[in-house]
Amino acid sequence: MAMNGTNDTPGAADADCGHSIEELQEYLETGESPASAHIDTCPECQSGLAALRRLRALTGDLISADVEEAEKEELPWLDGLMNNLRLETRAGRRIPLSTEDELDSLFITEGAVTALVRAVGDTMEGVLIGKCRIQGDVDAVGSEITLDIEIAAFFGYPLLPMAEELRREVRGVLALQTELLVGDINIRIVKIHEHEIQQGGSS
Amino acid sequence: MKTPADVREAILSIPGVVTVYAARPLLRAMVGDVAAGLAPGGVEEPADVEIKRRADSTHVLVRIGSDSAFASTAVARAVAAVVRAELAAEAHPVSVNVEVSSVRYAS
Repeated sequence: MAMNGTNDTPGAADADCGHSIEELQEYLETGESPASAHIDTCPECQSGLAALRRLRALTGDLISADVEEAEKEELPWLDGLMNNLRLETRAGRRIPLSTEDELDSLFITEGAVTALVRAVGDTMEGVLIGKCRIQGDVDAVGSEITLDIEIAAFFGYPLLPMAEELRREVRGVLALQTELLVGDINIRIVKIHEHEIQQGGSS
Repeated sequence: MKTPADVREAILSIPGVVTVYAARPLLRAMVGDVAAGLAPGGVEEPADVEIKRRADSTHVLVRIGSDSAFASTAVARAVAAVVRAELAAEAHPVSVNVEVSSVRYAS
């Protein structure tokens, strides 16, 4: 079994595509963009769009409720979430996968993995992923990593079972999709939304 | 001699492969801009699958989207094997670089 070592493989792919989360948001809102042809075929842009769609479906009512109650224009929790999304909507590092032929180099991108973790969390009832970070060196097959996840939870869902379910689901997905040795999966609940919403849609 | 389009079609037939992305998205975008703004119809866009034939070797670059029901390693290996089979007639060794750029999640 051959092992991949570095990203200096001949023919390594280009770095991130260079389009911002703001451009994706505008595209989502208007359906138009000078870069629409690119966005429609770019994995990082598609991951960003998917996250924004889930976010919009989940948070539309929360934003309205926050604004009504707090009568303030700034929504720190949403700003933080958008900042994290901005960082995560990138290809990031290339995580090697083992090969059967020594001439081959196989990878999954860090962006693909974090987008997958977001998708797992955002489709669970009561959970909205705020941040997902892979900590540790991923440059070799079998590298040990730690996963740091921050979530916003919705009121009425038992927090510990929810965190355990998320941890179990994420661990299962990472075991199938990567060859990383996943150590701790740290889940931090950074906000509890008191307003009842229907996951995946409006209330 | 197999073309990038031939190889792309073969890759898309692999279970677990959802899509094939442009191997060089930045290059494609730049060429697209040039083609649209300066030389309409006069610039050939890079293919999704990049095949570089050199004097003593052939290098292939592929970026795919996969399905979460399939293990990424197995899908990437299958892609490499299919590419090698498609290019079996090449005179030189073929090295294949496969990047799983997205995983479509089906809960």
